[in-house]
Amino acid sequence: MSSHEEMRLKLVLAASGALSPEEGRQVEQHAQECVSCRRELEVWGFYTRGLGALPQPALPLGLVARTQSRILRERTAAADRRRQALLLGGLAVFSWFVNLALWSVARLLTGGTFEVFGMNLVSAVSWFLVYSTLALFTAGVSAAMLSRHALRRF
Amino acid sequence: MSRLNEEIERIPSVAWAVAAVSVVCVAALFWVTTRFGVAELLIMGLIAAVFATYILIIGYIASDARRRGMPVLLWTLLAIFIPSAIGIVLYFILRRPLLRACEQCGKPADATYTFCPSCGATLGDTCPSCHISVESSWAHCPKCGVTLGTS
Amino acid sequence: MILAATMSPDELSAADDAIGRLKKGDLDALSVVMAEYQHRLYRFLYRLAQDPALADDLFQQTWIRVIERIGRYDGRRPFAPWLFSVARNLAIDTLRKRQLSSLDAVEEGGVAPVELLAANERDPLEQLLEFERSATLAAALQGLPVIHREVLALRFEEEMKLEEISEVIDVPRSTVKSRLLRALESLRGRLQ
Repeated sequence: MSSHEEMRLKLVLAASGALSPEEGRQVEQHAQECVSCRRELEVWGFYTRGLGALPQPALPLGLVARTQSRILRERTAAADRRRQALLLGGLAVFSWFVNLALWSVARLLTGGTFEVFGMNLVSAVSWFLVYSTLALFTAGVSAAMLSRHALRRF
Repeated sequence: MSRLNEEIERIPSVAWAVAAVSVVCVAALFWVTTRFGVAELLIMGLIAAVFATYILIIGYIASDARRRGMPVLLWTLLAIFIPSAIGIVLYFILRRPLLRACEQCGKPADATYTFCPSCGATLGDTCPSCHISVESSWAHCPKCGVTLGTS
Repeated sequence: MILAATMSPDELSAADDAIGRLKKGDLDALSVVMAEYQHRLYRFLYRLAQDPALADDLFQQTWIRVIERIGRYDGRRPFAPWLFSVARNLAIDTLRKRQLSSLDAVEEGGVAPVELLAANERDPLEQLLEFERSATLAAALQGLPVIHREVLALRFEEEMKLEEISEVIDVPRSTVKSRLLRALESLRGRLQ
């Protein structure tokens, strides 16, 4: 690239205010000597000034107010979701404690063994198996019944 | 945390009474069947706490379901009888949002309603043209497209 | 330190103050900050989105992000470049999802160069004088790719320094210069 080509590129940057003071002086000096470059500089000046004077878009009605209410809504919704997640997590843990507590009471009441169909119902394994199955079954049936009635009504 | 205290206050006194009774029952059971060593006392405490909490939650559900316009008896029974507190879990997943009080007449109304069923007043923002409920951050009505503008 | 083109010293410190409070988590300060930057931010998003409804939505989402990420803002640096970088990234991501075409390519639509200049024998310089006042320049901008529109808007409308532009669009200073160059040449090419 010839140095005059380089100068042409610098003209654009000069009009954009993107040159160092040193380079800016170089360009100024050259423009005083070279007519075509001076014209070029003026043309670029029109462009850069025009870009700073474009028609301004109108701010939509109530933009700030709408933004603020949306922010408020999203924050409360997020807080609600966090609270709900915490609650359900806590309840899941609680569910296991209920299971354990009932088992302990069952053992105390039955003195350690309770034979049903040749199986000790209050031994750890059979208790948790039977109890959990029962729990999931009744819960599943209830959930299915509720959803068939359209959840909104309940 | 004050929110938690508010909610706890909703638990009816009946539930507190029954919970207290259950604690006594658990203590009696332990008294009858085992000796009161440290380990036994701890376990007893834990079991009593679990049962008492269970009963208090059921009490809360009974009162909460009423204020949300849900069938109270149904949900209370579900919460009691579905084993392992899963009925309770179901309740908290499926419960309806709180009823809103209408600003004009004060009667309760579903959170999704646009107009109060008692007095007809508007609940929340509506589209000026087709009157559906709109969010305050929207610029246009999603049903009829008209510009919504409130400064 | 905030670009102070139109702000008096009193307004300047009020905005600074609000930003400091916002950083500490005081959300009431948000309305002050929003009011301060609303025109400039909306204008910038409009230049990128070229659609008032999209710019409206991006404006709202930008402030939501600002609140989420205010912790990452270094309070000692100017606020405007950080704000504009949040807005710019959001806009680019959204535009990318909407158009599967490359952001470097010239977009469909916009006015063809031939239509912009009525064929006449007037002095080209006089024609250019018109550009300063008319909307032909804005129309020509529409056809430019987003990465060109953004540097032009940041440099000439927001009057940001090259370092600040570099922070907003996250490229080295030399790249900012070369993009400005290409953008201006491309713009001129569409008009002549």
